Amino acid sequence: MSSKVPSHKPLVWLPFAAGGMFAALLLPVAILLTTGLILPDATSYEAAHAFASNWLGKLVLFGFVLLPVWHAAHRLRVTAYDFGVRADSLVAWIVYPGAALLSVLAVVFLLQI
Amino acid sequence: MARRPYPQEVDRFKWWIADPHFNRPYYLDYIARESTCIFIALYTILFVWGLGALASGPEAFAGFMGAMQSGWGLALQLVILAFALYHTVTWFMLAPQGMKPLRMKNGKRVPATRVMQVLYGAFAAATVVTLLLVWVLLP
Repeated sequence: MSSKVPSHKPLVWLPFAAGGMFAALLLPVAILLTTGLILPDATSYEAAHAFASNWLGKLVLFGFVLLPVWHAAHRLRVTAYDFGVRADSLVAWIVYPGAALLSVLAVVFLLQI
Repeated sequence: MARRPYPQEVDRFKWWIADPHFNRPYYLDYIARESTCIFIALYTILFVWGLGALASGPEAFAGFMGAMQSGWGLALQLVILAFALYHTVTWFMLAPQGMKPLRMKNGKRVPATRVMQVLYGAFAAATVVTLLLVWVLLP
């Protein structure tokens, strides 16, 4: 009976796995760049603005928000339980809308550039 | 027939450091791996903040980047970088587990070492290509 009810797990898991892989492959180099320890000119206003003015650049920057934030939100939900916060549905109602809010803010900011 | 079952007391907050009955190194490892998400979430918040500063104009962005690249901002980013790298290593260790349904032509599973070799190769390539692209795109 219960096996016939479609589970929402794949919907949560796919972005979690995609975000985890994206973060694993690309976040370290992104952080290295924003520290300014390597290629410091890349974090100048001119360079960042030129990159974000282009629609492809906007898409890339949006990817750096959307994928890791969904991964982090799902893992935070699971980890909250391990840290003793057992109100799972409350946690879910904080982390997923939080991730959605950050994604929407990213779109709003990118469209203003 | 268990008349008086023995539910073992577990401290719900400190079980991973405090409980002597547990295998502590294993649970610490697990918690360290799962905690990377806190730092990834923190970085995305900083990232969105930076996008907001970029949309506000040159002064706001210079102020944001100045804070990010001096003193506490730099220290915070280095801590985030350490956890991000730990996420990379542990994610690549988990990846072969997720690939178990995948079979090679001879019906055997793809060897875990092969999966990890490919992933570390992809990590190196992604890092180098990103740096090269940024270097080429610099005005």
